[in-house]
Formats: sequence, C-alpha cells, structure tokens
Amino acid sequence: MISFFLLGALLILRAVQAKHLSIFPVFYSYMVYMVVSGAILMALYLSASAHYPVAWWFRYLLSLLVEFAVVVEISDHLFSPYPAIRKLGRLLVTCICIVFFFLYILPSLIEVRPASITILDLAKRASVTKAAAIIILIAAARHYQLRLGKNIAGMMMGFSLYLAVSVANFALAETYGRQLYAQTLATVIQLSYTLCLLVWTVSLWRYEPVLQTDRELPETAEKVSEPLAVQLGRLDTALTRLFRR
Amino acid sequence: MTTALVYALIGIGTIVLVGLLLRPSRERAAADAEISGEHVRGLWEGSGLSLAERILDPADYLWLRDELGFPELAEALARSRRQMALKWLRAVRRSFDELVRTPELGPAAGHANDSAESWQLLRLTLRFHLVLGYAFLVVWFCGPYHRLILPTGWVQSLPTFGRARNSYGTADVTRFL
Repeated sequence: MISFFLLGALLILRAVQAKHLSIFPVFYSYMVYMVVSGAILMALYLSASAHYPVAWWFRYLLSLLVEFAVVVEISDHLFSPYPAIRKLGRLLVTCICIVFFFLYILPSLIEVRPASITILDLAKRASVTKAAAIIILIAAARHYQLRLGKNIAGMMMGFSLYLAVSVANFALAETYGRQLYAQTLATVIQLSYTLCLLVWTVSLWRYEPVLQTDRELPETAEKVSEPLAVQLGRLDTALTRLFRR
Repeated sequence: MTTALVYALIGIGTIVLVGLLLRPSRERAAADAEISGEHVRGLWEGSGLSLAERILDPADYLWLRDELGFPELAEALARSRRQMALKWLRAVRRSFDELVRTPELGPAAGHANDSAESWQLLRLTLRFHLVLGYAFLVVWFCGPYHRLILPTGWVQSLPTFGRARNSYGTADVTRFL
C-alpha cells in the first residue's frame, strides 16, 4: 500500500517537474484520481467505516471506465505522427469495445446472478477487453513497423501486466467466492497495480517523443511534394484500374 | 475451476503476447530485405505500372497454349507469373506502407484539429488495404490472369461478348484459369 502511494506520487510529481502533464492529460488525470481516491479509501479503512466495501467497488468500477479513456489516449499517441493512420488507434479501440460489449460483456450482464458475481465478472470481462485492445494496437503498430517509443511501450507493458493479473484474479475470485478469496483478491490487485506503477514510473521518467528528428525518416518523407490525400487516392486509383483491366 | 484456469491462461497469454509483440521484428525485416528498395522505387510510375500490366496480361499464356499448342508450358508460365504477381503485390504493399509511415513534421504534428481530413485519409488507407488484400487472395487462389474487379459496364458489353473480345492483349480474361 505504501509503495502504491510512493510510486503514484513520484510519477505525478515527476510529470509536474518535467512538464509531462499536458502530454498525457488523461493518463495523469487518471493517476491523480487513483492516488487521491486511494488516500480517501485508506482513511475509510483505518476508521473502520462501514462504507469501505462500497467505496472500494465504486472506485474500482469508475477506474475501469477511465482506463478505457487511457487506452484511447495511448492509441492516439501511437499513431499521431502519421497522418494517414492518425485515427487508426481510435477506430480499432472503438470497434473492439463495441464488439466485445455486445458479444462478451452484455450477455453476462443480463444473466440472472448474485450482484457480487456480476460485478466480478464485469471487472474480468472489461479487463479482457482492454487487454485485447492493447494487443491489437501493438499488432497494428508492428504491422506498419512504427517505433513505439519508451513512454508508449512502457505504458502498454505496465497496463497489460496489470490487466493480465486482474483477469486471472477476478476469475479465481468468482470461482472461490468471497469467503475464501476476498483478502487475496485485494492483495493481488494492489501488488499488480504497484508492479504496473513501477513500469510506468521507469518508462515515463523522461519524455521521449515517438519520432525523434535526428532519426532517419522513411524514404518517402523527403519526397512528399503533393498532399498525402492526393497520393493515397492516386495509388488507390492506379491499383483498382490495374485489376479492372 | 475450468473457467478460472482458462482465464489464468488468457492472462499469461496476454503478457507473453505483449512481450513478443514489443520485441523488434527480425522476420519482417528479413522479408523486407528480400524486396529491396530498388524494387519499390518507381513502382507507381509509368515503367512500374507497365511491368505490372505485362505480368497480369494473359497474352503470352494464350499464345503458348492456343497458337503454339504447349499447354504444359503455358501452365508453367502461369505459375511463374503468379509468383511474380505476388512479389509485385508485396512490393506494392511495402511501398504503400512506406507512404503511410511518412510522418508529419513540424509543430502541427500530433494535433487533432484536422479530424475530418484524418478520417478521410484513414478511409483511403483502409480501402487500399482492402483492394490489395483481395488482389492477394485472387492471385493466390485463381492465378494472375483472373479478372479481379468486376467491370461496372458489363451490361453494355453484353452484345459484343464472344468472338470480338477474343483477342490477345485485351483478352476476356474471365474465361481463363
């Protein structure tokens, strides 16, 4: 618990010092939310408040939603230097979320089950959806041989570590029930999140833009004389005409 | 218990997959090295396009098969042309990917103020990939002499269908392979 607050505060303070806040606004807002709500939760726990379990789940479920926004922000950074595929990340994340929601999350929500099982299942399925989005984003970047950069690669690695542990953790909690697994569930979530924070702190210590101006650019970069839309359209027409002969 | 095991495997698989995907790709670099930069250069200019037209033109195949009467040789030619067509398509994909990878330099890079234009560019990019993917499939399964995209003016061409279109160079390639 202490390491969570230490790393979280360190990450935010480093971002303030190095002026990274405006580069990843959603991510740092999420971090502030996690640290502040974690502190409130800690106070509730220490005061043995009856509201603690409800507050824990409320914080967790809200963080589930905000994490989707973080994934979108990561996807924007991944493709933003490339005008032809600048919106590819958003398109992929939106498609994955829609498909997973209707085919994977919604059927489990409408099933008649105890509320605790439904919430655990929702958390598990939301984690699977985010993990799938991250994998597909990295695969798309790899397809185009894009340089991810230390910041984005670290954010994705940390996130996927946390999500992967969460998926297994929630599945085990569903299987063993509250009596047997409640304490383990909370501990493993804390541990995995601390590990994730450690990866984020290391990878975001120094800002490294995805494109560095001293790096070699693709061959086409220097000979772009006409707008990209015209070039793309021209290639599209040439290929279609060739096969329509 | 089985469900928990499946999800535990999904979790492990996620970490492994992300780790593997974040590693630098050697296979892709090797595949790209096979298609050298010289192959890609000038691909969309006059000579490059006429070369593609020659690869996809069934005239030589028909000449060998019908005029000279060597169906086996014609088949061998079609097979080698298919390999050439696939290699050409790979070069096209690499050339296109290089264009897509062209970064926007300067202060405007990364800003989303040109949202509509960005979506339009993405639409063009995805459309090109769709046509290229379809072309790969057709060349792979049906050979290089198959008409890939059905002509829109087929209704008007119906009266002249037959002997008049049976000439080399502009052959009605839907009849072959």
